[in-house]
Amino acid sequence: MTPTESKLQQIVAAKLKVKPEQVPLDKSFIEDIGLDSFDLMSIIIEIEEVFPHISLAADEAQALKTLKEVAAYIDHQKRLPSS
Amino acid sequence: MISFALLGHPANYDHLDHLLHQLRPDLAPKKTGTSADGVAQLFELVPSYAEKATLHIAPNVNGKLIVCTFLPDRLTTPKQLTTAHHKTRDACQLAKELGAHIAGLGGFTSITMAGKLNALSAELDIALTTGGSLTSALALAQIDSLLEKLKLKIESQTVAILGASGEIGSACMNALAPRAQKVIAIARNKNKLDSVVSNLRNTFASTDSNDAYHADLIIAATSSAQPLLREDDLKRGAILCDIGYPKTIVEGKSRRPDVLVFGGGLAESPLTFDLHLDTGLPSPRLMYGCFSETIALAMSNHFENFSDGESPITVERMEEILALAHAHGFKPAPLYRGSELIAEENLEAYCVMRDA
Repeated sequence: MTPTESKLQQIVAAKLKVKPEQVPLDKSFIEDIGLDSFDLMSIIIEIEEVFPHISLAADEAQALKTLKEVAAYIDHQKRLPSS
Repeated sequence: MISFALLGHPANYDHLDHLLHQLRPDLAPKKTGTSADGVAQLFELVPSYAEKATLHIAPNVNGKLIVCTFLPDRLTTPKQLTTAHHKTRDACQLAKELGAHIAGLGGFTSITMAGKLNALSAELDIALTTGGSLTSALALAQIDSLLEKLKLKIESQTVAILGASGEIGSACMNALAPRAQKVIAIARNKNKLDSVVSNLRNTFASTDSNDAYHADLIIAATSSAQPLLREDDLKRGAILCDIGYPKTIVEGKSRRPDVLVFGGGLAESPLTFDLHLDTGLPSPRLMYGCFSETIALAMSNHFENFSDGESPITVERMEEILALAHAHGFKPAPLYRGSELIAEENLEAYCVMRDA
């Protein structure tokens, strides 16, 4: 597991009130893991705060469904030279 | 200059389509041949904007509707959720620029600020409220007066609360649990729900919205973009107070005489609210509870984050805002099923059918 995946698991686990390892990385975190819309929004806001270099509002973020995909997107954006 | 702003959004695509036909018939989908998805995408490209019409409530109490250009049922990706959050932020900023001292976050806009409403209020120096306190108080008052008319006691009712871990759902649950025969608390997040219900008597947690069908009285206070219940599937005699925007229930083609379904959390006022567009309300004298809270606070020069979406809404807070709203002429609205008033004869027919 990458450090980014682990961080995302922690963020989501705090909302679900479960242990981080119980948060599935490969399921749609929007539909399939029992988050209500308030939790979901607060997770999105927190991801933007914790990873300020990325924007989930970008077109490239359109297809992200699972935490694994979000983590890969975050790590990919990190490696890009900042413009 | 305005003193208050009301933040809203179309309930769903059909509502947007209807608004377009009303406001810009030249751009309406049937004329231009644009698909529903295309129209929704175009709508989402527009930044949050203020409607032209101004609501003149009293001298120095004027307000505008600010439209946040998203549709809740399309918020299914991180990109769309993030964009919706930013649109609500932008709308609050716009409210501030227009001179508003307070903005009410209607419908899904309060969800898009999840837990950040106080922070945004401090950042922009404008009071913000979800309006959840008055919405809950109005819904409970509407239920009380309906039960009284029907000669029913809450003590004999099994109550289901959909969206029980949310701001409005938990407010209603905390108010009713000490009195109701039994409460079925329904929400998606089981662990969060368990922590909410653990101190309440005769209250049971469930994550299955179908459990609501077992109740005598259902309060739907979800922020679900999709309807979760169908009028056709309600048990005989069921009463459903639908506070959701968009609606939580799919109404049947015609009104079922043996159940009562009504829009809850609405206020009636001596004022007329003419925004020159379809707000989804059955009469210009009616207003959503969240916006009524905002207007009543503005009329009182009481610029406070009255309902912040974070602090639990207590019975005392509900009484406080209900009294303040009442002082400005707002009272619990008569009951409507969609745009049809539920009249005395409907209640009489309901009693006959329920007992048949």
